[in-house]
Amino acid sequence: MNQPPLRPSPGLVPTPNRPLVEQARMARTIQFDAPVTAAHYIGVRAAFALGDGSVHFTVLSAHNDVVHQCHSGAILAAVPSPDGKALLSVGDDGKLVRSSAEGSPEVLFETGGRWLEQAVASRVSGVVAVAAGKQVTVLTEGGRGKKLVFQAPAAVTALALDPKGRRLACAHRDGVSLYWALIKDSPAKTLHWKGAHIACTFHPSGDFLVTGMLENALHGWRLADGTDFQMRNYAYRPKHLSWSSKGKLLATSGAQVALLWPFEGKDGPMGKPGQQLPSRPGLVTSINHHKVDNLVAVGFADGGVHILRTRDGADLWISGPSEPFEPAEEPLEAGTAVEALAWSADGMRMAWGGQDGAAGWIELIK
Amino acid sequence: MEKIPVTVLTGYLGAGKTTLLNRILTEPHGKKYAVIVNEFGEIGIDNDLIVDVDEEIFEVNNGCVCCTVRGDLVRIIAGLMKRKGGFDGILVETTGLADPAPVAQTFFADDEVRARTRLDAIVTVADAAHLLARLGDSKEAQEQIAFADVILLNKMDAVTTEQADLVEARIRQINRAAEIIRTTRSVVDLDRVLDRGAFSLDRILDLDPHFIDGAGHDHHHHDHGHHHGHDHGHHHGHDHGHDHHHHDEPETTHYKGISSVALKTDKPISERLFNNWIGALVQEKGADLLRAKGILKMAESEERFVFHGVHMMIEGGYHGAWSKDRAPDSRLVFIGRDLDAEALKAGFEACAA
Repeated sequence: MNQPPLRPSPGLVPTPNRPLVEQARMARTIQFDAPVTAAHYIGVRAAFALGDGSVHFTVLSAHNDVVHQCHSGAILAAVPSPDGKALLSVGDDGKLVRSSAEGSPEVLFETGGRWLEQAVASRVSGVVAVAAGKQVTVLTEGGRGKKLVFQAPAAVTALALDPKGRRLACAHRDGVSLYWALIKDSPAKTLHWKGAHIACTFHPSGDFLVTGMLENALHGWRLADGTDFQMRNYAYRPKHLSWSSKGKLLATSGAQVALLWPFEGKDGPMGKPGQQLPSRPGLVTSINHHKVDNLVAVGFADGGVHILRTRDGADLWISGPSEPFEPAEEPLEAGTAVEALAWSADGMRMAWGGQDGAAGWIELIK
Repeated sequence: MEKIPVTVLTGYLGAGKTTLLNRILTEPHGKKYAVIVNEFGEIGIDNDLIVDVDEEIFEVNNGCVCCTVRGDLVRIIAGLMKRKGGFDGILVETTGLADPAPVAQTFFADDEVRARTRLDAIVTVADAAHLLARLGDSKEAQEQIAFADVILLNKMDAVTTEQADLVEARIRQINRAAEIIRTTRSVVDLDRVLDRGAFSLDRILDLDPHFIDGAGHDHHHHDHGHHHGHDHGHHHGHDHGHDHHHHDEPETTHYKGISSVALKTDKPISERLFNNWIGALVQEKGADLLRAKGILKMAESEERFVFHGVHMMIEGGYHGAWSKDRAPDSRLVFIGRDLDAEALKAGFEACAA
């Protein structure tokens, strides 16, 4: 496969001492005055969900941004709606809100007080699932259809839907419980593993389920036979798990490098080494695979954002510091960690946002 | 980024914990608190955020029973950190029958919590009239006293001064490192309870001229300034060989006595020797060691080495200069079950540089 060099726009040659966001024509940096909780592309607009309850749908000119106050407290999670036309956000006001650059926000569901902490949605099935404590609520037809309720064995710390959008995984302490999202009262199948599971994802084939753990490890199961595996010794919890387009690689945050695990064949990563992408030093707090090409966006604890090519490690410095002034002993104490990275559906745009409200996006060309 | 101070409120049922919480929330201190409670009682105030949780305790480090944390706190604090503007402080109320260890250990075990917050103090409200009886029949009541940095000896209007002295003497047998404040209806200057920070550490050191080698009777206090980077070997490594340390411990039904041991030395300490000793000590005795705190004069540094721990989780680091008013020395307090004071003293003295 021929890879063209990474470049942000025609004719621009990156200079080493400036981040690309300052050089590219189609790029923008934004300083929000609240932490960025989530970022997603809704069409061509980069949507940022913030800790003050607002959602910002941004374009090149700030004059044309659309801002909605969707929640009265913090937004705790946000995902694109199944139709891809809106952002679905949940918050500590207990609401699930659908918002877009067109029209007014719409409350799809509310708990009446309990924090809604998790959300997931499937383009394939139209299922939306949200969690408050142990209670998981499934909404069909993008949130406008039926409502089904499941009780997980413990407070739900992450949600995932399988590629068909029918099998719902609810991570919690000591394991993951699987439900048929569209079948009322379907019993849970629980995969047990002691500890706190705080991130959860299905392999794009549906064959594997992988969790990130508070104990700075990954745990995984081959769903066909329940064989499980673990990858330990992360520096920090692997909170962000992102598959390459065909599922050959799982990119993970939580290490001092972008760490990728091979998932080819029926054994997945079992018995195989992880792939470390050489890059600048620093704790990786966020990572996201490009939708098509073998690129990953990588966010660091100090606010740095890079794009790395997984094939050869080619490195594009996008925003924030490129090298930490000195390796921080407790990198998270600065409160600058990149928390959210998003690619547009066409893979031409990438957005980021951090704990300190530093955010932006860039348009790439090949 | 400034870490948000966290105050943990414990206290046996009916001791006056909710009264104290209400007082904190209603007094015009101009501060904004997030309050994490187990059930909405008669509290609720405009400026503060009240979060209702179910105490969810789980084991970390592959199921070690003394490495429990509060999963709900991990989630809630991560959520609170997303809010715009933040908070001046976080208050965590525990149920009357709660073991304080999991809540305290949450502030050691979870990276995200540790990066953004610091455990400022564990405040225990005790009923002066009933504490002696509770200490006799309740493991939880003993642990709440043992874990405390501050003890409000409350309901003083229901006891005589002599009775209170008796209760205080009993408290001192368990915990000689806590500050005891006598109160009625939980009336207390909130500065003595909230965001005590380094100030209280210095104050208590200054007020504390006669910490005695090996068998002191004084309270020494610290609740701030743990940079914890300096003993990553302990913090992150303490699960190594961790599964065999207390298997010889019988399942006890009777309650073993909790006591404290205070140690002091004028000789500078070797950081390496101290780390080795304290690391081995918590490996071996972690289940019985409820709390450990200390301020040390290390030979390697001109700064104070401040450390504290809960069961097997410990952290320490250099934190500021010594007061110019007095010569630096090293002080340690252990609170736990079946402490061997002589062995601790010998072990500590062997850490001299």
